[in-house]
Amino acid sequence: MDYKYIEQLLERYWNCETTLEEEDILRTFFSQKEVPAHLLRYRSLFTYEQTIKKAKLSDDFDEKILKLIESEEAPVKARTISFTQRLRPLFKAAAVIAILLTLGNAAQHSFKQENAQKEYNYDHYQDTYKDPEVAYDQVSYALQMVARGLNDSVISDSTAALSNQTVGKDR
Amino acid sequence: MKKAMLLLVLTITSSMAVSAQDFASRFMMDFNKDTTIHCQTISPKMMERLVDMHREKNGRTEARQLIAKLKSARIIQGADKPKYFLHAEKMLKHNRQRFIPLHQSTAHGNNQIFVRRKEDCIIELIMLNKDSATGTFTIVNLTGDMDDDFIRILSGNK
Repeated sequence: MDYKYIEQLLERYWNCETTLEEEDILRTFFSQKEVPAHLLRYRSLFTYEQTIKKAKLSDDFDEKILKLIESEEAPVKARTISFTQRLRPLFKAAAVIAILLTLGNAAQHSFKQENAQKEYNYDHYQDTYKDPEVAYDQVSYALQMVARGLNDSVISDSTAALSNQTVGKDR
Repeated sequence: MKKAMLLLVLTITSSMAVSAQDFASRFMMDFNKDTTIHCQTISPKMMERLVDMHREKNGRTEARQLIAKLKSARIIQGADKPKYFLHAEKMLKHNRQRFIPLHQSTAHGNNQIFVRRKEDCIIELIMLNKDSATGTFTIVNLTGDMDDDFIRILSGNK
């Protein structure tokens, strides 16, 4: 069987050129029982309106829905709130304050313990020496320098005191 | 509540991150392009290793006592150019509320010691030394929890 006419109509339908009569022809064609296989995929498009028209709510639909709504309605009960329940937010706030105070105390304690550790940022420090022996020599040298500096001052202070005394006696 | 906690955490984190730099770091920042001056660093980690090393070897008690009170040591050395000493001195004088003079002498060149105290502890010690005989300039910068015993041991008054 030749379906050229139907194919032409379809082509015009896709291009939005069909008239209302031609669209009726297409609907009638696709509502037939036998439709060629290569046109079968368009069937649902033209029989959609008829299928929708057939779909109807059952007679007991309203009844079913009403029953469903009635069964879901929760009974309203009066709730008594005890004194402890009423104070619960206050307990929560007190607990939060207690936690914060504990944390604050702990932080303050650790800050006091390690004064220098917290005072300076040692993250960027890069060791000049990998060998602890060499590093030890450098620390010893630094300490010796400071010791010498301190002793120098002691000597110079006492020398100054002596010279002051001598000057005093001379006068 | 969540916002308040976040704010608290942020405040603590930022205050810890903005810890101060020591004197040597600041000094070296000003002379970062100067190749004639060098800074040697002994970090807190290395200092801990030195304490452990001493404990294992049963080393001199005094030395162990001194090192145990240190967190870091930095030694800046360079040729004796007046600009170094003057700049260091200027920095210390500029921060005179932070660094208090401990000792000053001219017995062997120019020697000045400053300390930064926090409560009963000396948390930073700076020594400036200008040795005209050897033609060297040295800054010794120690940080740690140093007390008066530390100074007493160093100055030899036991």
